[in-house]
Amino acid sequence: MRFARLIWLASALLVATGVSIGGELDDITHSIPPGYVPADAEDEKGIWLELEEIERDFNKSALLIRDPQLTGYINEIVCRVAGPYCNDFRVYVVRNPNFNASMTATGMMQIWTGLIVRAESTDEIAAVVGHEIAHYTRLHTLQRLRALKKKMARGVFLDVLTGMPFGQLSAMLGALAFSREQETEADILGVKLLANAGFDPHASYTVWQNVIAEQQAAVAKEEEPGMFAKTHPASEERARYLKSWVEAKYGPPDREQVADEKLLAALNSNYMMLMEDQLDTNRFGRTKELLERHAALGVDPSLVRFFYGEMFRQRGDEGDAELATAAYRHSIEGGNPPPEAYKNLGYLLLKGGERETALESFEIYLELDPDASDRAMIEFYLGE
Amino acid sequence: MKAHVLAFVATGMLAACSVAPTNVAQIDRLESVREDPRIVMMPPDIRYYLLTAGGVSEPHAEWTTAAQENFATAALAYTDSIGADMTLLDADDLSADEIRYETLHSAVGLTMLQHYFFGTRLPSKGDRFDWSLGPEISVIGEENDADYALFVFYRDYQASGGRVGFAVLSAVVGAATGMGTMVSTGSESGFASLVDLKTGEIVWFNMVAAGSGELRDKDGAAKAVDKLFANIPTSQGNAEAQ
Repeated sequence: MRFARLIWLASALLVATGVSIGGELDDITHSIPPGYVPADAEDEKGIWLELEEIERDFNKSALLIRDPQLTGYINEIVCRVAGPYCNDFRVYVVRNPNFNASMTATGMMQIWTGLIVRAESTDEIAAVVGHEIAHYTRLHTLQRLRALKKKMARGVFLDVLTGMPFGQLSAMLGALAFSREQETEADILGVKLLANAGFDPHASYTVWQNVIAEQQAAVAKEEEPGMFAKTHPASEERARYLKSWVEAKYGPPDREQVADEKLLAALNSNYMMLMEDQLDTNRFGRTKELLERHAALGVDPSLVRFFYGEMFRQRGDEGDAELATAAYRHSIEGGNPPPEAYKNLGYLLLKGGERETALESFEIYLELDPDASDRAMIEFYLGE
Repeated sequence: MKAHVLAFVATGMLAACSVAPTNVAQIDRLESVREDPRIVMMPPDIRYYLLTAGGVSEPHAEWTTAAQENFATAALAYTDSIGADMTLLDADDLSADEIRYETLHSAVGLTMLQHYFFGTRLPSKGDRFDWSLGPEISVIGEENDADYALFVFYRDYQASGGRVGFAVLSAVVGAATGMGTMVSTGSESGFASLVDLKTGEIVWFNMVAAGSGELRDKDGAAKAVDKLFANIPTSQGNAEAQ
């Protein structure tokens, strides 16, 4: 929808402003009942048709995760947070290593795998879900379109009279401010949904604190320009005001975020896919931060260590081969290494001239994964 | 998001420069191992928007649905009249492959507008017209037992009364003061590609802009189809030559 892009384009001009939390935010509640159908208004019907066509095609996307364990875990969270609105949503778990989730006006919800791989607790996933549900029940898409139409009409009128473009410019900035207000609304209503469903409301800001920690790790490694992180404090602002609002309403946190069994099961059984996608982003500072987080959460140590090995091997700086070799060995010591730990260890040893140990490692790889797609290649080394 | 901005820019260009060359035919007639070459038509990607007073484009359900239906009916009647064997795929029943190629076609088509018909030519392509969706599209040929695929992309932005009012006001103020503000009063534009399902190559391409038709009513859609498919190749040769 072009109006959304308009806001997007103009966001380059955005200067961050403080958000003040007034009493009126405490009273925020749903604007529509469960089972909502679009009103008989041209703009709303237009939005719904376009989104329904998008969803019809999106349903068949190769990027959708169809594993019932993972989708079941996410669906359960959504239903618990949504309460009576549960049936209004279709939840799509999308294979994408970036941190994101979204909701359409029609109730099509996307949860990206990059969000799951960054969660410290089920509550943090629920926090993002609550925010997205609030966008839906507050009719934010429709309201944004209507506000933009009004502001732009005024802006064009002004520009026509003056012959200068400032009316439209100011309308676009106004639209941005409006959409920031909506974000705040969704944050606050989201926390309420979260708390009502029995999740920890403090997860609403810890999830942002994690994003900040990861950003800082990337900047410290000079992988991403520090300027951007410094002049773009949206996450920090958000973490700050959510923390103060949540603590005022629910009291200070009584515990750290912990991974429950379901989150750990989701991470452990999908770890290869999740972290391979993360590695493909080539952002080592971020990957390392995630691996440290996963080790602390209690993700299977053999898996975490294997990806330390993958990370060092892929980076390939001076000394990384040794670090990778040690990480693969450490993964094997952990007792539950993926077969690839033996294979990649074998390659590194072969390169380092330790032929015999390398071949032993290759043999174990083939024993563990007899149907490996690269079996012929490995057998070639073994037969040499 | 990017694709949409591109669509906006490209269709904007299309609307602005309707005098540029708009048609490329790489073949004169359709070829097939069977007696009658078979075309499969992808559900036409058609959307109508209301251009509000402030220039916001608002998706319009009723117009879009009517346009999609009228266009499909007119397209089938047209290909029937020129004796082409064409089937239209149901938008609600597409395979994952078909959806992928429909999306790819929009991206390639808009890129062609930007880098072949208008704007700068790509250094790697120069003046050659060798745009392709890639040979893997043969899967669509196998799924549908067809030799060619026909893709259609069409966007229409209809100015609201308020928008037209602003445009008039702008002209008046501009004339009086010499300082004008551009107020666009909408646009209509579209393109169609015929793709060889063995090679993926775009063997025929046509685009239409301002005055290309009113898809919201049946007669308008028939006229638009006549224009868009004007010289589409058939098994007997170029349709216009018939």
